[in-house]
Amino acid sequence: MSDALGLTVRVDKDWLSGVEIAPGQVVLCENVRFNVGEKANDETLAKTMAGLCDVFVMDAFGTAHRAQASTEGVTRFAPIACAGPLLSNELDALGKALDAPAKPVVAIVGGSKVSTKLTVLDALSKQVDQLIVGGGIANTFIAAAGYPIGKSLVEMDLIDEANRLTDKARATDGDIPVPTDVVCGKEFSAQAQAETKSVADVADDDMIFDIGPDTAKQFSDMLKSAGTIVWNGPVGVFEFDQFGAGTQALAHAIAESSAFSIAGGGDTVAAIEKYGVADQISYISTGGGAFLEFLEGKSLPAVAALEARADG
Amino acid sequence: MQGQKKFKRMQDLDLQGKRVLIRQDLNVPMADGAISNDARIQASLPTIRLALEKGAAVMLMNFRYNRSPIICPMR
Repeated sequence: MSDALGLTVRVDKDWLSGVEIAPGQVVLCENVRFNVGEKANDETLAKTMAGLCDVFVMDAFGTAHRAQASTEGVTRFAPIACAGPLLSNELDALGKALDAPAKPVVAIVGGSKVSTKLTVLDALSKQVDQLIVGGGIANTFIAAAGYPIGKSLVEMDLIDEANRLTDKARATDGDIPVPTDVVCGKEFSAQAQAETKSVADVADDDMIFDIGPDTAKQFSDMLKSAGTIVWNGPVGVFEFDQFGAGTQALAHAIAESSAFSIAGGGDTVAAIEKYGVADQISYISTGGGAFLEFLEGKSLPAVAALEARADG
Repeated sequence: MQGQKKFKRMQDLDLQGKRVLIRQDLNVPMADGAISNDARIQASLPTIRLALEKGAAVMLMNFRYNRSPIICPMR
């Protein structure tokens, strides 16, 4: 970091007891993780941090969903608290996609389980025009639509929930489209044989690992004509190339679309890197958990604290 | 601009001679390492440079799971 900045960056380990510094200098206060009270958002710790500065700059979106001493606490007590450029850029981009989006809005929510994304699905199902589900989440919707899913990863206890979400989306002129064709394998492995079939023809010993080419085409067309795209989660097991065509097709469709597109989450960023489309996504979120909570419509504690300090 | 959140922005503030404490995100939450430690550090540099240009004394705070030193290759 010293080299990149062209000056010496001093590392202080005992910085809570005071930092000696002059304008033009940079001091790295070593790892807040080791401060007692950081995770518990201890007020005394937050006030100590606030006392070190004239201006506190919150520039870490990826931590904004956690109320901790170095995020939310210090924001409340610093003489002045503001957002740094990285954080404000991120909030502007995400706000553009969700608060006042260009229509139609298409969201992709992939991942293994409905249960972990239920709040996101619930929030998006009433906001977006098309909600594309992928991975294990899609399997539950496929089963809810009455199709066989063989040995696929599925949450049978959430079938009613899936139907409720679909009904809710349709009630506001949206939809959660179910794939018409899928790519199956007999085992979860890099060597598994891929077989494309109609969603109605999935066998008892099949596992669904990707959307099929017809579905990929249908979803790609939706993405290409979208005004706004929100992407969280792959639609197949793209780590194995024979089950990656669906995610690849959607990645390229997003890249080619003129829509304002935002993407986030570890698997999604990995897929974006794998298919080389990073430069063609409008904004890639730096936060995993914080990105999901933003999509869920939750208030991020550190951002709420900044907003409370907008006037002083 | 519609959709913009209401909060103070560092870009708009006078930081001349001020002690500025910046909370950064240099951690690596991504399982696949797609956003590397280096990318996080690179991304954080413009904020530091802007604060220095504005005449601030800059203190950096971050949270990391590992204790490895922050190494940033020359660009």
